[in-house]
Amino acid sequence: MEKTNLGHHISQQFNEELEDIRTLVLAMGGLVEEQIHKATQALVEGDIALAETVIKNDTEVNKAEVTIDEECTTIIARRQPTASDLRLVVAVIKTITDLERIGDQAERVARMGIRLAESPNPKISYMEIRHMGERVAHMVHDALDAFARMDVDAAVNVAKEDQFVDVEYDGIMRQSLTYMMEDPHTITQMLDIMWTVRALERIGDHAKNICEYVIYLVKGKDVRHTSIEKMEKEVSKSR
Amino acid sequence: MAADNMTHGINMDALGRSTQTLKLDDEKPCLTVSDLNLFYGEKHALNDINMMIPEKRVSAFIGPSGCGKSTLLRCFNRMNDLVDGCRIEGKINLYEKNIYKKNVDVAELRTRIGMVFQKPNPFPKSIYENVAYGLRLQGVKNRRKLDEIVEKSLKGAALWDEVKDRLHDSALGLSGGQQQRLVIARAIAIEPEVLLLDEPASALDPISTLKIEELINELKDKYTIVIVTHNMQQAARVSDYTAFMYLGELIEFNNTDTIFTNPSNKQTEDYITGRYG
Repeated sequence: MEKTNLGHHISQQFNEELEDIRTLVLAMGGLVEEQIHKATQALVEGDIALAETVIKNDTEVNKAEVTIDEECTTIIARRQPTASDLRLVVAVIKTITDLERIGDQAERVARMGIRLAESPNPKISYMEIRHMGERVAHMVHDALDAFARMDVDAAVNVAKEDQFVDVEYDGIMRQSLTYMMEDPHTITQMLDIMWTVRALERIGDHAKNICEYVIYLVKGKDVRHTSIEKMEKEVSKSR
Repeated sequence: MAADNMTHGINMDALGRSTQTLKLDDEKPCLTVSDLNLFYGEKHALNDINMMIPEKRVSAFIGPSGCGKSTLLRCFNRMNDLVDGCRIEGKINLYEKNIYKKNVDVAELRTRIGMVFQKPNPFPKSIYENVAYGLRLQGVKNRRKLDEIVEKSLKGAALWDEVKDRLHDSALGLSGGQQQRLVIARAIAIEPEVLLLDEPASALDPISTLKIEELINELKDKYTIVIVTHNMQQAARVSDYTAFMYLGELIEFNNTDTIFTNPSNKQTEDYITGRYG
């Protein structure tokens, strides 16, 4: 936290408001993380009840987005934040958009879980999906951790992790194609599985986006649409 | 990992709270203005003002010069009585009682409704005597009691730490920002119910301004505060409710969040977005 000085405004209330939105983002992140875990678990174990809980809880994620958005609008209107305060508010607004989309993807995984549970079991084991689900949930967790601690190095590490998720995604896709060619009866189920891993892969992308906002917040540099190398270079620059 | 109620050391219940927006209808009225019209000679300066100032909240008046916001503020403790050719119709109630009734003791009214002006106006006396002045007028002689109230008021005005070792120096030696806080201390020493602030920070530098604003935020626990300001951002920062006035009329009065994010009146929107004129 040494890089943050949220608590140093003359206006105590402004301190609290900024601290407040930060806290809310982390709480929303925790909720989203839980959604990914539960959705993956529901799919792997064929637990329809759990999947339905995930689908239901997505409204909580959506509500959190609306709440935080409102708070940010109020802060902009009432405080006219500048410099690092402004970057914090902007980063928060962008982060919650990504979190909300992660929530939608988790919901999609849960829906696929219900469909797959109701169909005859395909030959594919769900081990790969379980692994990928845990991996992206971890990424979201670490991205938010980087956000909480304003730790740009951690942010870069999470962003790097996304490459491995992409590799896993390609692997499962190829495997699914093989199954479909072997036995066209599996096509319906395989398509559902492809949708699922697609959703998980997207979660990885969103986590990476959050890391980019952390770097923007701390360094003031926009590292979107650049390579990992460039990102590392920006981070290693001292201000 | 995320099974319990805590993630990242954050309580998840934080999300469950509803965004509490202040609603004028839920507030307890402190000052109620009914059909108020004010004339300076021929000039109709305030036109049919009806509004309710909520208790223990900060209400800000904004609007272009000459819109009547200061005039309205001055009506609240009958400062306009002193203006020649000023005529007032309608009534203003402080809680249940009309302050424009014939038998109202204006001096007593002003102990209940204190006022702070744009330019700090400390008396050419010591810091201590400035704060104790109103109490002495009320006949308080007990030295210990005076000491106590002076300290409490200076603390209340967030000035104590800066002046505690020079209480008997002249108040005129203080900086502008300190003088303004001294004047606020003087106003709260006699424990008014309402504080009227007429551009309290417009003669101060940005840091002193923020200190005054922070002070206002602290004072609203105890007092009903009405502030007139040219600085819209200041209104946005300090107030719970904002009134927009234009050409002697009250255009819109609503909670500050609404006024600054989604005003219902086109004129308000134009003014706060800088499209006025």
